[in-house]
Amino acid sequence: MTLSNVLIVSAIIFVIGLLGTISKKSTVLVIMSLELMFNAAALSFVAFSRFAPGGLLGVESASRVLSGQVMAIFIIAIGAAEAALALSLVIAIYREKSSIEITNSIDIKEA
Amino acid sequence: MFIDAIFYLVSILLISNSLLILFSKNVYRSAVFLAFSMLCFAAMYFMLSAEFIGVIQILVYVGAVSVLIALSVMLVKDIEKSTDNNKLLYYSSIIGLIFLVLISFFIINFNWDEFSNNILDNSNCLLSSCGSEPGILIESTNWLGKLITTDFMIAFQLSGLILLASLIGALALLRVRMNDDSE
Repeated sequence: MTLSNVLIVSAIIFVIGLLGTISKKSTVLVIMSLELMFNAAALSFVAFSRFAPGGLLGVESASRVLSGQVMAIFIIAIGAAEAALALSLVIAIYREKSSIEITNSIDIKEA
Repeated sequence: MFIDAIFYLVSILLISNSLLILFSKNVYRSAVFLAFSMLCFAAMYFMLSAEFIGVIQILVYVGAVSVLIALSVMLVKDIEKSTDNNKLLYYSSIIGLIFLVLISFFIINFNWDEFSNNILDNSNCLLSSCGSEPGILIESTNWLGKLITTDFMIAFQLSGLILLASLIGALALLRVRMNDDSE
């Protein structure tokens, strides 16, 4: 388990999320793929923080080493906010169009 | 090694669950696979000695976001056709493969050893320190709390502001308009 192993896993998950975001018709699946991409980015942040020089053992280097984990906390907060907002948008589109396919939901100005 | 075996097992579970999100035939099962892959992400965080991030991941994603997505799945009318792809599938898979090959080439060939000291390579110890060798799980929650309230105070308050704004935006999108009912 080295840094490059974790980064390759993160890149694979990011590409799977990208694939789903581009190529799915249903809005709910697009949101799920967006969550995958968020978490892949957070995973690479945590991996960089884990393998940072100095490690987690030195007390005086905690500010420098743990910055990646703080970024992961912020990514999780933004991802939760994005999920709540996007799903309420899905419900608003469903009220207007009674369908949640992305190709049907271009015009949402009056929704 | 023990940690390596667990890491490869969790990686295989994570990648297969993420692929099953896209390629399962039922969108409700996709939501369940999303919850499983979020659990695998939490396991990765625990192995990377970020135990606070792992707990937050389980609380927020497995507990809240997966339930939210599973509730909005109930809006899907035609559950058979709900996992269809559009015509961009082949283009996007080609683009994704090119991106993956390029970034893996960079990750493998870059010399990360200048930046990293691999404690995990010479430690089997799962505690903070057993004997003389350094451990894998090290208490980081204390330092995270100190760091997030001193150095990242502005960003912390701004993320709270973003959460409040998204809450108000979601409520404003979902409110029932009285004028529309009367007309």
